[in-house]
Amino acid sequence: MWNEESDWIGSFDSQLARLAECRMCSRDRGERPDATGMDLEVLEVAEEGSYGRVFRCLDIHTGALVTMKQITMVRLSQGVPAPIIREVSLLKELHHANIVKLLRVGLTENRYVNLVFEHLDYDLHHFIVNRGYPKDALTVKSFMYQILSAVAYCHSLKVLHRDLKPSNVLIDHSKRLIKLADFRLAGEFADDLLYTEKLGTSWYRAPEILCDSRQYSTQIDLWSVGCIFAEMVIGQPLVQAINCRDELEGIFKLLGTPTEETWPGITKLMPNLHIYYPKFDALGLETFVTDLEPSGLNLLSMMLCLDPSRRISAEAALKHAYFIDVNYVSLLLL
Amino acid sequence: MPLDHHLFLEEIKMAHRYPKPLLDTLYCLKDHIHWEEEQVEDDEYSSSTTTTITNTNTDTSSVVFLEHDLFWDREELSSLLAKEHQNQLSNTLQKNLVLASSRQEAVEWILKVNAHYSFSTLTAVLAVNYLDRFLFSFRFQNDSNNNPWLTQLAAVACLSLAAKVEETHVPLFVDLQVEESKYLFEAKAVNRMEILVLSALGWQMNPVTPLSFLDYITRKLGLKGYLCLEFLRRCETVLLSVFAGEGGRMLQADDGGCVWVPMRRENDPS
Repeated sequence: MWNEESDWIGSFDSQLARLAECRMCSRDRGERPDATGMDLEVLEVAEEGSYGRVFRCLDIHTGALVTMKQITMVRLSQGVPAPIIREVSLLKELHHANIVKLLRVGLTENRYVNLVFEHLDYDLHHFIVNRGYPKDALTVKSFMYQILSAVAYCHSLKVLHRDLKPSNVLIDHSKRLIKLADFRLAGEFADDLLYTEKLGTSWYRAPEILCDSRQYSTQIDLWSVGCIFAEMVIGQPLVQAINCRDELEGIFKLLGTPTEETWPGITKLMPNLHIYYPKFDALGLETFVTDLEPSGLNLLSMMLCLDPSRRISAEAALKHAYFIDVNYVSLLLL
Repeated sequence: MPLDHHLFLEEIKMAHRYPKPLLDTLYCLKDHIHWEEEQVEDDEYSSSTTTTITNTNTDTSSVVFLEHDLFWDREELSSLLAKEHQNQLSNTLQKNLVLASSRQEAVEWILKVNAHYSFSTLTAVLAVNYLDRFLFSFRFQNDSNNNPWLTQLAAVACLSLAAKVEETHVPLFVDLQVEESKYLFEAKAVNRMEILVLSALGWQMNPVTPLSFLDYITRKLGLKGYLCLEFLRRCETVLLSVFAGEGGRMLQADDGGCVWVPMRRENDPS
């Protein structure tokens, strides 16, 4: 039985698979990636990840820049991995201006799945780190509105993103257009994948997930969006701004250690809560997120709400007063 | 109300070129004349509907019955119907008895393996959906050399893909072929067929199925708890019976509505 569906390199033959993967990797490292049949000219390697590589390419026919995500299929004896089927199938159904478009899918040598996406200039992480975070309040508002529009659309289709963070928010520079990317974990129950990710990515994870809750829903994405919101305003991850030993402690210092009153069900979810975490009084969002107008701070507090059942939905957030004083059409013409 | 009655009939339309199936009380059929021109790599499928006629032979008692009990949210129902693709294989099978026979064997095989591994009903429904779309897209009916083993290989690949989409644990290719069949395929062959199926279906592996409608109807009926589970269990049993019945009849997505009628009567305490 294939017991670790979420991890292509299953425990059953992980040793052999890792050897096979290393061999393939070393053989390919010095070679041009095989884009045969894709009608693409490879320009450069943009990224190397655990699942494969990302290339910047030129579409031979249209002359347009595209991004090709090449996923190595390990354990060929089991065919196309389930996570790939799920991601591609899901992306095929998502049609929204603020979601990156999957242009086509190709397979080469029965070894790679090539996903060809429209190309965008850079991601929000890059924007914040290298160009100075968007100090312009209108840009923050525009970006937030677009992110929430995409998230509300996904949630209306019962799709969770589950891994929202600045590096998964792409930006078209000239249009100031936002597009969400990387739905790798969407629709898939992949706990071990979540927890084995490198520490940095957990800065955007909702408290109910950090508490090991197995029952979560759309609200986890809203927490992540709230973290992104704060980061755009202060220029660094919110939890990183707080002196803490782990993310959960940082959250509790910021918002106060939860009680049964502030988060109904928390004592059942974390029976040993007060053994591991002191009773912090809330430092408050306003302590760290300065320079945000009052209505923005209000919206942020509704996103970064400890109790998932009281956290604002994406659809409701779009109607919040924070967005009411802006002509939405002009937002897209910044 | 006259208006509601008219609107309801509007939803029961039938393309004139297709005969009304014997078993169907409700049969919604949209004829996408551009279906055959769809490119595998196309992201979006544009379609048009040919002239349709109101079904003047609709069973009056069924209409009255449904009208009392169905308060469908029109938007969600329209969304499901719009996403549904017509099963184009039905007409083809009438002309190709060899393919019809091998398809029936393939469907029966899928149902047996599904039961063996206690896969969900949705897994079985998805697998048959993939198989039908694949067989049509490759038009085996035009192949003068009909190869029954190709249909069986496609069945193995389709069940594997459905299990990957829907199940937590997926058996190895060899283990998947537990039920007796004339052929036993090696992993390499199934792997290649999987890739062929994925490409042929345009990687669209979450089609609207009868279960999509059952989910919707159950919510509208407000069934909860045990009653909800029992209702769904019976509907799923009926759906699988339809598959296994006479020649593995083509199953339209909104056949979920047909299943509902007998289920409703069965649950009536009177």
